[in-house]
Amino acid sequence: MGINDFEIAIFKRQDMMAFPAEDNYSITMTPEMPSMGHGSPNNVNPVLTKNGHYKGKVNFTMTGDWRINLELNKDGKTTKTFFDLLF
Amino acid sequence: MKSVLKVLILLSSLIISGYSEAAQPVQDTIFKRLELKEVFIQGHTQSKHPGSAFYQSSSLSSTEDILSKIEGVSLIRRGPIGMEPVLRAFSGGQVNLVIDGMRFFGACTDKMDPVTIYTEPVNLKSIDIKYAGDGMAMGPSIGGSLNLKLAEPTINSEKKMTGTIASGYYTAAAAVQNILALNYSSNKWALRVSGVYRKAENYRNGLNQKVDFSQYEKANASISGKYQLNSKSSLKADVLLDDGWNIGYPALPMDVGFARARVAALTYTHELPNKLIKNLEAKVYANSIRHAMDDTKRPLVPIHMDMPGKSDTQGAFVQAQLKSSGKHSLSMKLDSYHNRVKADMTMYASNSAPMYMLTWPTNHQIVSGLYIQDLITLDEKNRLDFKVRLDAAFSKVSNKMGQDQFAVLGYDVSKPINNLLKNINAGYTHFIDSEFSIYASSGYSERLPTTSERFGFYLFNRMDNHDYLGNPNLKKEQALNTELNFIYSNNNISIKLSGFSSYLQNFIIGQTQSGLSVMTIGADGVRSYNNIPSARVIGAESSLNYHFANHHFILNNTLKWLNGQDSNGKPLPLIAPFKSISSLRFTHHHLFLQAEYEISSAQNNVSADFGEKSSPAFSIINLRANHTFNLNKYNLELSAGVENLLDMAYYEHLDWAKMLRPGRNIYTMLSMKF
Repeated sequence: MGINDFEIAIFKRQDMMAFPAEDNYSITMTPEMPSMGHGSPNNVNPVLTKNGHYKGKVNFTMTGDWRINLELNKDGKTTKTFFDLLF
Repeated sequence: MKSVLKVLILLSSLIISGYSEAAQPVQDTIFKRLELKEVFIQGHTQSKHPGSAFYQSSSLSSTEDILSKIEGVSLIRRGPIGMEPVLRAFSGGQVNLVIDGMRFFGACTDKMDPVTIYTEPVNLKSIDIKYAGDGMAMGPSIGGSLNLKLAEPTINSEKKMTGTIASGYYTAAAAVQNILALNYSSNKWALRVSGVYRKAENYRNGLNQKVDFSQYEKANASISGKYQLNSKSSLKADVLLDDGWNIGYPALPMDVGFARARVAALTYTHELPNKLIKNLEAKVYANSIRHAMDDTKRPLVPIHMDMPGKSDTQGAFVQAQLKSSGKHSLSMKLDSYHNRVKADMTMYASNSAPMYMLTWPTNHQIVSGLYIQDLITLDEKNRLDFKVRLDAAFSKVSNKMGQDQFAVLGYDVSKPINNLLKNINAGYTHFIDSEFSIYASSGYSERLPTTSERFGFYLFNRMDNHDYLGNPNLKKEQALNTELNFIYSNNNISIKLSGFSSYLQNFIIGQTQSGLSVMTIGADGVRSYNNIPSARVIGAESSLNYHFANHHFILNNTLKWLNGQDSNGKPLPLIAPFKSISSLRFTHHHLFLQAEYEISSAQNNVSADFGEKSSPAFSIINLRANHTFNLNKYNLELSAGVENLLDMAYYEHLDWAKMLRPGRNIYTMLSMKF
């Protein structure tokens, strides 16, 4: 509930053994309650700290099922992904 | 003598009942017939006040029916009961609705339970309304106070047991109402017990349609005991229980599962006519309200929600009138209360876990105030009154989850909010001659933002289809109020004309927040409460009471008109249009016949931003008849009547969602007094 620290780390699989950190992404994060169709205000998009780690803030206005939508942008290409939380 | 004094108290706004030295015999006659702002309830003991017959048109009238007849009062209607009183243009946190001086806060985030829903006329003695600064004895407010005074047991050693039983039926909603009131008295003590049971089905409107979700069921019981400690002091205990359930709110997306109030109070009064403190009243009280909205009976609910709310208040006050010294008659009141409200919402979506949030985070509020009034009798024809009130207010959100919810919006509500509220008012009464007088009053008032305005969290407003967010940084709303009254009264006629204006600063109103997404499915946007620089309200009222043809006929008329604008010259929402209510009663021996004509003009000065649309004009006619007779030692009263005789399809401007009112409504009632 409330304001939460959000940290994500991005690594690229180069081969079976090497996963170098990716520092050049810009990330847009939108939390959403899929069953209600609403989000939450004043979230802070994660920005690079170091070594592929990005930090931001995610806000939850109520308990329940939340989906964190992520848009990962690099070199004009966008990758969309999400993960779900329940609390 | 006592009744004359009561009326005088209205005008002078004395906070203490009993003997007042300001009640000079010369002036008594002027007020003899004036029902200024206090409406006495007929019931167990018949009220002799001439206006009562008008305001309380039948013994079945509810508190809301009575209020709707009072010239300065309008009602915001969301359902068949639970209408919210508006004093002139002010409602909600702008007015103080109290029961016997006790502070009381509804537990519903959607204003479905104004205090008036928890009382019935059978447990009331009178409804005392004071506008603007004249009402500050009940607490800081900009719009005034509405005090529902509880009926008291009568100590009467002559007649041990008295009582009333009444039963009535209304056709439009197939509604039944049963009333019982008993008074038992011994030499030193008396007990009064009263109860009401009301049940209504869906009512039929003027288009002959059943209005779905307009049913209700309600029971109310009150017990009051009075013990005369000695000739000068007495102790009174009151318990009031009110239970409503399955109450439909057709203009809202949800109904009420139950609404429950529990009130207890202990009052001590002392009279010492020759001492420095002439009389003293001390009261301690507690009340508890539980309220739960219910959408389980509605079709097409996207997500089922549970929305319970609770409100608990404990308070005390002591008020005293000092012995007059010279021209001054001083009285004072010290009061304090603690209120805690909490409301939450659990949403049950299919294929998902329940979702929970606090719609009102637990809010503790402590307000303590000192009120002082000085009544100065300059000479036989001129009188001044000064009222001053100072309150210290403390408010704090106590639960972590509520604090976290507001942190998301960028507010830190972990610390208490403290306010100092200042109210001051001055009045001047001039008696031109034995029949004509003028009363002018002017003052400055401040009020606190309500819990919804400060800490409401995504509260849906059906009117403008927006979710509302509280704003913990709201400033106090302030008002400069002025009014002028002309009063004329002789043996057969009394007339009162009032003109008033309020200039409001830091007016609290909802404003759209573009960056926020709605919580309620289908809502148009999110608004938060903000202070706008200013707003103004002007208005006028009149009341007339005329007896003629050897008192066989009584003509009553009230008129009211209001206009409100914000600082941009746009109309304020919830401003009732011009309205007139007239009644003509013919009385002969034990029979009376009464015809009433209510007429309202259209309202085209509307706040489109608030979702208001123009309302058309309407007029309705009501007819009533009443016959009293004796059977053995019982006094029986048979009433019958028809409201909305012409079956008009109409609604008033303050009725939400243009929900049509009941169509032709025939009622009958039989009561027995012993």
